[in-house]
Amino acid sequence: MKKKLLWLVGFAFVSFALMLLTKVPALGLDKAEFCGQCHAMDEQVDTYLHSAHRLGATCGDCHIPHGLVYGATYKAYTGTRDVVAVLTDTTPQEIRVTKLGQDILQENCLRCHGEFLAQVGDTRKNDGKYCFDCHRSTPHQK
Amino acid sequence: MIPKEYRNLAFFSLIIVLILGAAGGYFFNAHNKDLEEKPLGEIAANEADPAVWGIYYPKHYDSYLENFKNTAQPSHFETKPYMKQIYAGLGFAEEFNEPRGHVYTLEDIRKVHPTRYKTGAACNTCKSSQIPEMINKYGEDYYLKSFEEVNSQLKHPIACLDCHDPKTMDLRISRPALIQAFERQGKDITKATRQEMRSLVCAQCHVTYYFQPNTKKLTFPWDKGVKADQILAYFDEKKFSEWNHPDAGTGLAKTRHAEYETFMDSTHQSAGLACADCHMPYVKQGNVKVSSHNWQSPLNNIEQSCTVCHREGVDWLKTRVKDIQAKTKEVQDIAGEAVVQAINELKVAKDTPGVNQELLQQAQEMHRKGQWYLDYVMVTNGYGFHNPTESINNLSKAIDYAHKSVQLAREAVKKTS
Repeated sequence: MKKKLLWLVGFAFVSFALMLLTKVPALGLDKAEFCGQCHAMDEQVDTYLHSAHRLGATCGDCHIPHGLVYGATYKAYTGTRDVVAVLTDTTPQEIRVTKLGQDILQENCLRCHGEFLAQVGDTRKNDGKYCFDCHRSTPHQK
Repeated sequence: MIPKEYRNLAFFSLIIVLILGAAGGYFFNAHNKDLEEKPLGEIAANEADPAVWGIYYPKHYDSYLENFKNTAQPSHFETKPYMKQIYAGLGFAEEFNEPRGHVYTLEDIRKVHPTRYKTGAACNTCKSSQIPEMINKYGEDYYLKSFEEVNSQLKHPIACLDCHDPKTMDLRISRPALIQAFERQGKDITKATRQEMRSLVCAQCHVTYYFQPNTKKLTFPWDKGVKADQILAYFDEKKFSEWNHPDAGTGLAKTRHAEYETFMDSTHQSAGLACADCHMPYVKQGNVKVSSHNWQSPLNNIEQSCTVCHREGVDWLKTRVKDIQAKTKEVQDIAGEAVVQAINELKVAKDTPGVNQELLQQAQEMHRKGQWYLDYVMVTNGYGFHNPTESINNLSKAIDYAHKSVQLAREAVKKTS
């Protein structure tokens, strides 16, 4: 019994470590080519590959929280959710970012463009607009 | 103890690890700067001089100074000749020019035709940053002062203090009329969100208003709502007329630039936009972005104001806007001519001895409505673009009421006793 528990803990630990590995940039698991395989977003991937952001930002840079543990967990969650959607053929016709996803995006916009926006501030503050409410075709269409 | 032959290797490994760690730490930090938002300097609580604010906010001030380039002052009569007859009996019939930019408010009001000063001090309310201070100083008596008494004390035009809290730089409402209008509607303006404030600071002035009889207090007629029919219902209930038309004999209410009211519930407003989104777009100034304080038609800088959202290109966008404006203007001209026709028929009826008074009164009532709906669109900047469907809707009502007025006036003459 104790041995089984030890195995289980070991397995959980290795899984967790593997999950954290998805955040290692060198593995390229934030790149459009990889993400686009399961997240059925061809239109977004194609237009992103023609945008200026392709030079400096991957899918994950904007859509995944920056923190290692939170980021990896969120990635594992959305990855699993969308794989299930693809396998069961329940991907929505029109892909919309979730409420949580919106807040993550906003934070990531400011993470890179914060200095540029030092005088404007966080436009989202006090029920304001997200950056992408206006910049809605940046860095991909729709 | 590490064996001797590995000591060098261990030593270099340690250095490399340290360098990598330091570099990693540096890059992590450089890419993860928290957004720093704080006022750049302390500005005195009643500082009305924009140049003082400009010391701390040079980029915003530079864009504010761009307003000096906005100098065109064409007369409204050139494009809307019917205005002269419609406004007969008011100062507006003597002279009615397009205003220049915000920085010229004081200069321009000092040059306006003298018949327009008679209302008194209240006319200064949207012309200077020093007004909140004046209202504080005189209390309700401010509105009863003469135009000259208040105006002679004013040095600075519309500037920073009108919309910003000097301490925090947050947007603020400085004019009591807007705060009171909200209170009467049972709304608390201090609860407004940032996005609402980005319209409400404009709504301190870019709205319709009237001066209450006797107290001359500047008031927004919004108790029943901000739309043309709701405001007219408010005036009707109070039996308020600003003046009697000398030719038609009708008691009339006067709209002023109802930009905020018109914009509410428009396509752009219901999509969550504020005045500032189009009129004060974020512009790049060196390595930062600031909200432009050069208030002008967004058509002058479509790339900053429109194409951020609309990717269809400058030419296409301009054509769409111009199309809406031209078609609104066309209907507005028809409505203008219809109201003038009503005035002419009413003049004939009024001067006919023994005319049927009941029908004449009904005709005047229709004239009051028709002119109100026309005026609501006509004096609102943007030629309908702030809310195209509503503008055309109001103009259609204006035409209908004017035609009814003409018909009733003719019947009144026919039924002369």
